[in-house]
Amino acid sequence: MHNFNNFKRFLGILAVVASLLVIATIVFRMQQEVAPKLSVRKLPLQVDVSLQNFHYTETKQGIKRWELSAERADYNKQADISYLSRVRMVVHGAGGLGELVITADRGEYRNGTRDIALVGNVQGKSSKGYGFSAPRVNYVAARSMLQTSERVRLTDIGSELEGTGMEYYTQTRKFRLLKDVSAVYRQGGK
Amino acid sequence: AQGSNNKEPLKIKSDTLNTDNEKKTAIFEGKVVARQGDMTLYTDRLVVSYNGPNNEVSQVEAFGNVRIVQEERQATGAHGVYDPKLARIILDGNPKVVSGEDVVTGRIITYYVNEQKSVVTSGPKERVEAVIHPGGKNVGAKP
Repeated sequence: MHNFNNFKRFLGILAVVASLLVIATIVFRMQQEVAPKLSVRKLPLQVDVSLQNFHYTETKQGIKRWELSAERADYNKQADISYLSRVRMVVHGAGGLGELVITADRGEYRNGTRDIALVGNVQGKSSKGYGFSAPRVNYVAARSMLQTSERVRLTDIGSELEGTGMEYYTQTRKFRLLKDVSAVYRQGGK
Repeated sequence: AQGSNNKEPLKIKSDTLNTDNEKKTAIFEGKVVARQGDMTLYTDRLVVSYNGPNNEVSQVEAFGNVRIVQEERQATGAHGVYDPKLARIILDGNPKVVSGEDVVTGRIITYYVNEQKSVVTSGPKERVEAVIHPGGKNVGAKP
């Protein structure tokens, strides 16, 4: 008789454990459904805001001066810098100067000064046919000037120029090469 | 190879360069060396003007310590204007052309790039002067 009671007690405990297990599974399942899978990428520590297809337009007295776009912009509030990737800058020229389009692998846009550092395979192309290339170029907003201390190569119909260090004034399209200049002018524009 | 120097590419080296893409001028400054074919021009400052759809060089103006070296000939002056189409350089500011041992001076010298020829013009104060060494190496070759 004593064994039979033990057996009954064992069955009781077993039943309680089994029902607890069932309840726990149900609750866990429910929690899983309630909390959606997080699809947003986890941001690196220094990035406060990350934007896709970033686009910024700078105007002065209602006239569009330049536009800046990038595939991605990671903004760091403390440094007040937006770190851009696959950058495209379009400088609009007054008085029929036409557009100057500059592309680069990466960029840094300083929101305070509106200066831009363009880094990696920097290529400039004007609607008038001439262009330049350099490893790195800085846009100094206060002076509407592109500036670099690197070796620059400039090409135009009929000529190729090279030098170390450049100052390019985007509103007048005048530019200076600061050192070690070499130039080739082909007659007949070949 | 004389005869078509002015059609060759014009290669320039200098310390600095200022260009104006709208006015189509390029100002080279500091130890400027310009080469075209077998001619080399040295000067302190060189202004290149270009025009037309192909940006053809229309004029090259040299300022300060102008020196032109081409095979046996050498010309000097304070200022020079090169017209690539006419293939000639007009030199002033005590211009002088030396060919071997022969020397010619005057007020203005027109130096022909594709020919062994120069034309010397006198002025009120500068008469044409020529020192020709008969029987010298350059017999028959005009400076």
